[in-house]
Amino acid sequence: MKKKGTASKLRRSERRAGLAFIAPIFLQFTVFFLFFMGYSLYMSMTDWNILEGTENFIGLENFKKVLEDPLFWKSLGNTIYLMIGIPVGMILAMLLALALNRKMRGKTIYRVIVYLPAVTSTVAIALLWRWIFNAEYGILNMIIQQITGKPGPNWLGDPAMVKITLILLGVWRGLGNTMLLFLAGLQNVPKEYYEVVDVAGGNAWHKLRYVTLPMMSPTYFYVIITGVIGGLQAFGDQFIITGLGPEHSAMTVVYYLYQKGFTEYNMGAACAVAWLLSLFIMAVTLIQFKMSKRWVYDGSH
Amino acid sequence: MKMAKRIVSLMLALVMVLAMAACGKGKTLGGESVDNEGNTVITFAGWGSLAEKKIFTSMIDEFEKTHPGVKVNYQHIPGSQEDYLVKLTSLLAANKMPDVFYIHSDEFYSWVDAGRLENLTPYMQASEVAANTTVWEKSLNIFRYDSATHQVGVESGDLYGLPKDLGPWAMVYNKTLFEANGIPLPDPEVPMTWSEFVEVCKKLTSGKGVNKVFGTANYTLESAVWSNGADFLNKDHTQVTVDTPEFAEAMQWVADLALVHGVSPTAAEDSASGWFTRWCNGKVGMAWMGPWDQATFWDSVSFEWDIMPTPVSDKTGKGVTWLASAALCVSKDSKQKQLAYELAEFLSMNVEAQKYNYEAGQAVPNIVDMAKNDYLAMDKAPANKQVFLNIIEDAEKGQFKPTYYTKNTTWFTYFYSESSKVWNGDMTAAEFVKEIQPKMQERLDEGK
Repeated sequence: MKKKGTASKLRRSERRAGLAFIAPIFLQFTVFFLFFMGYSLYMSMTDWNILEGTENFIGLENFKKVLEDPLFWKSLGNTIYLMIGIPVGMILAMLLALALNRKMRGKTIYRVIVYLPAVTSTVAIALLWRWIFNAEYGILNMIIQQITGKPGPNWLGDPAMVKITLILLGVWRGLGNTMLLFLAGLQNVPKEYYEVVDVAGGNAWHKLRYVTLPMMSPTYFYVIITGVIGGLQAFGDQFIITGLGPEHSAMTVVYYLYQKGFTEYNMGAACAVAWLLSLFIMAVTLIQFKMSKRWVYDGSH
Repeated sequence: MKMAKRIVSLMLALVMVLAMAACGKGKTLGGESVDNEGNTVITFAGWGSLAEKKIFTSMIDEFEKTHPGVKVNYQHIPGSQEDYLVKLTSLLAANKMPDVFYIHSDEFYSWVDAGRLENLTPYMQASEVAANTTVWEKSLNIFRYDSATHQVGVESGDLYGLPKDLGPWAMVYNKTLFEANGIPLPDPEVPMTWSEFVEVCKKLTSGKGVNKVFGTANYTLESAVWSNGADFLNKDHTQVTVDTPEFAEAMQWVADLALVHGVSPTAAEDSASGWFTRWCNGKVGMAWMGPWDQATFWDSVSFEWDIMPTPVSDKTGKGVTWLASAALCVSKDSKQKQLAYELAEFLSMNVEAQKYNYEAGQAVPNIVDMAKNDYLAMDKAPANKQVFLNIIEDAEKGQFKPTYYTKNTTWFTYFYSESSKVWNGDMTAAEFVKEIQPKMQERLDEGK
């Protein structure tokens, strides 16, 4: 039915424009990512030692070794444990967002203050918190001592406390960003729905329970997905504040990768860890997408 | 779609670490570097404090004066030794190795065995400066490597690094605190036994909480182990030997300083405030120091201090501690090896440079005569500088760290991280070493 000619000429030029628009990102992707991904996949199957320059193909040996190493599993366990901070942070951020969504004086200032940690350098934050968490001289334990009369916990020295410390820090750091996303989500809830509740004789609690919270589900979904991905890649705080921690209590998967690559110079194994982690992230994310159909409101009904 | 892209890009960000390393593989970028004014440029990389940076900058200025037409590009890499190593590894992967760079003795084996370091023996044999300078034998032996047997620290080996300095880890005491408690000062020559040491510690310990004064802090495990006749590895460094009664006894003795006697900060107290801070605040009677700490102590402690012989185990009568060093190495890929060697030699052996270094409180001079005369005569603390020299000279008193002899050091870091079970009293040393030995052995074997 469609003739080749003037109509498809427009089509063609549109297509050309479209291609031109995606060309830069496509180029960036292939040049800077795709090639190296392939390269690292290959390298994960070699005994690449960066210092010695070896590069022999050894098949899946690296993967086998890593999966057989109890320390890898311990670090994966630690990484997952640390993600307790995600729901905690979401609840706090939601409360903050609800508070800051009202009409009040100095709203902007509060928003800036809460958001500040998100734009501060990881290293500066980590160094600061190392002092705050100091068991003897830290301000946190001074406050605890003042209030309870008992000395506070040993935040960084006790294997049981180290993870809690890292979770607290992570929650605090992520709070501003999550709050901002929730604020945006809150402002997207159509006013009409609240009016419906009013008409039906509902109160503020009903508005929150039956309109606000359900309508925000796409935002939760986004926060959870990015939070889980970020959480699985945790490294900076551990590296600066705790090191491996007593009894490897702060060792995360990326820390494990770092140790393989940069202290053992075994880049082949490090690549294997990176791929295992990538596959894990991909699997977790896919599962979340599948499950999201059940609880994320997408406006289609 | 946006989400999917985000996921992919985050995933890729992870792979980037590896990608970055891969970037530089391939062609050599170097060539003889010449700057705008026609000077030959050589690069030198090192870590260290800002004080050390200042000293090296001056030493390099001196070198440039004696070598007209040569410019040294000094890349001071801030942060810890660990950060430095990551940076150096990246430079290696990018084929941008500096001509001269530090390698710590703990890392020396990996780098030399991988063939990254230039054999300096021929340059040294041809050098007049080297022929006329006597440096500590140990400070050269630590950077010898036999390519036939793949062993480090053997006299038959060739030299692959010149010593930046040789650091003896010595016990230091707070003289003011001893005098305030009416305790006789430690003898400069006769060492304390462990039981005497504990008694003195008890007398020095007083107070509670934040203001508690401790008899000692951070007792060096290597010293306790060696002094008690045990070791981490066997003679040829292939077997982990921590599961001996002597080792367990030494480790328990160190743990008990805090757990039983209360004369040393517990693991919890130590993580709250490190021993170094406590020591500098005058809250520790006896601790450990290396010569590089001298400058800090001169400037920022308000009490008098001196060093003392390493305490000896009651059982063996021996007191051993560790020695470490950093080498000035020349890259195998350097385009100006002779010049690079001369810079390394200058920093290691030049009389003026060495004088400057010890006067600044950074090190014991590498040059034996200078150490035994000028350095000993210097009127700044410590008074018993001979203790440093004894650790350097006497094989019975100073040993290289166990990690020096192995390419892979994870067997040790693993031990170190897990050992908190003993320090906080959850496990006895005897139980712990039995449990940890096979796991350490596994890691040691893997590193070969």
